[in-house]
Amino acid sequence: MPIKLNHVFHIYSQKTPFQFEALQDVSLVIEEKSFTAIIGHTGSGKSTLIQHLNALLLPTSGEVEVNGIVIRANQLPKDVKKIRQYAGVVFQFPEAQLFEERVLDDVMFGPLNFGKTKNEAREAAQLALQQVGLDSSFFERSPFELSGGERRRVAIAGILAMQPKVLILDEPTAGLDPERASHMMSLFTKLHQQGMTIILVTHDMELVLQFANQVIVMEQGKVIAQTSPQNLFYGASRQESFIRPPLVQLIEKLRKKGKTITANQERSLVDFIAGWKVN
Amino acid sequence: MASITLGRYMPYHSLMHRLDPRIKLFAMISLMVSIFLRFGSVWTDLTLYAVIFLLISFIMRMTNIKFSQLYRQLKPLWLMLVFLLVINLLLPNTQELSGYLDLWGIKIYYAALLQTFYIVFRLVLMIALTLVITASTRPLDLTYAIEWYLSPLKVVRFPSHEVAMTMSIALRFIPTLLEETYRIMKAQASRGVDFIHGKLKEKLRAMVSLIVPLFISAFQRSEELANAMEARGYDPSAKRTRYRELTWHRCDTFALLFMMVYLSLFVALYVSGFTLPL
Repeated sequence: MPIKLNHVFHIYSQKTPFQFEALQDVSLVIEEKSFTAIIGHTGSGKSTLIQHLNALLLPTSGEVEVNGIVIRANQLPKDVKKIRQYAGVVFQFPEAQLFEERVLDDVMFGPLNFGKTKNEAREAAQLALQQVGLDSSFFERSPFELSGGERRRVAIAGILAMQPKVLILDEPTAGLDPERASHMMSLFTKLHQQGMTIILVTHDMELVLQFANQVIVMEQGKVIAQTSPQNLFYGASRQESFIRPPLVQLIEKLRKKGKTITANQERSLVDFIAGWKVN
Repeated sequence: MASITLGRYMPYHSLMHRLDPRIKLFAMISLMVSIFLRFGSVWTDLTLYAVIFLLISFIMRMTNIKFSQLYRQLKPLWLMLVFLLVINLLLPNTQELSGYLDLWGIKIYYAALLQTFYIVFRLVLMIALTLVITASTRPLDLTYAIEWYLSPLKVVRFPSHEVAMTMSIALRFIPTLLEETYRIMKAQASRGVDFIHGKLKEKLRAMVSLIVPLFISAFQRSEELANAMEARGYDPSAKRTRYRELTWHRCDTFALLFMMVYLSLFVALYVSGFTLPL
């Protein structure tokens, strides 16, 4: 079932001097099994938006529909746990949420909270850890003795073990070295191919071009475009306020030097590179 | 969730906001002293409490703080207030036992009820005062004021600057830690933790999943802060200048005079053993 947002507003600290309208009349549909990127400058409301998708924040007015459950304004739905399991959110720097003494226990924490038995949780945790590329030698170690990148993978496994249908990621590659970052992205691509809906918040336009099949552009709490990545950089809804990916910059430079590249050539080049990188 | 406003600076423009933090601190202490003084008779106590209450509500009005805000601060304390009432009813101060109310064979002493009322009333007034101070004074200004009061102790080598520095760091990081708390709470809520409902054992586990990461991040943060300070050559014993100087205005003098008169009046009444002729 698609995720739907219907005229959602969110106001922080309403009726105090700190009042801040973080979302203004946001209406969206995110299709099942899509790979959606959410982009926008700092403070544009991206994080607020994704926290509505698993009922961590409730709309001040408007409605959110996730997995057929409607989240109404300021009203925590009864089956909130179902929503949280359906849509797993990986926050920015998720390694901050680790607390158990053993990696395996920490990853089992989520499934246990959602009512799985110990054995089921252990199986789910082992599978999730393998998915993020941590073998059984890590299971018994303390999360606090791992490297930063490994800790992040444990934290992501903690969400994957809940077996969500939608995975929401807030800048999952921030602070990782390029190699680790590309490993991380290929994991998400694999999950996407296995049928998971992926929602990715990012500042990295190259990731958008490479992986996403739909982009949501936010600015000052409003959705100003919902389009394909190709259109974002080339088409009618081209946005000037974002730095173009290197490939797009290259084409622009070639043009300046007097080379003629038709719009069709350009598009097929982008499509080709995008497709080539994924596979 | 983000409804904790106690101890938060409210950027209004009121007379209270413009007052010098030193005089505000002095006023707070004088008012607290007057709250804790007790006089010869019940009626004297109650009358003077009414005076204090009027004064404090006037101050709250001046600071732009509404009673609803005070009420919101007190709401989490109601359990403690009930507890106080029960303890006072069970263990009344035996010297003042006079009249009592007979409720199905249980003696409820008026003195115990009165005692509870005093405690609750004092608590409410104290919270109101701290609310006024923190809402109208930037934490940094407050530590400047404390440092100023402590500075005479420098004669006996008391490290007043270091103490003030420690306090200002602690105050500065309260909102940061709160933000961090909310962040971790949200991350764990995404993993199915329910911080409100559930059995005691589940709640305890939920608290562990919050407290452990919070401690880790607090320690990390303190180390980073210490390194950043050292990297910029911070020397705790160095004489330093300030970006914001405290300046004394005419309204500060008025406030100081008023509070001095107020405090000496109360102390004089107390020392002379004054009671209202009722």
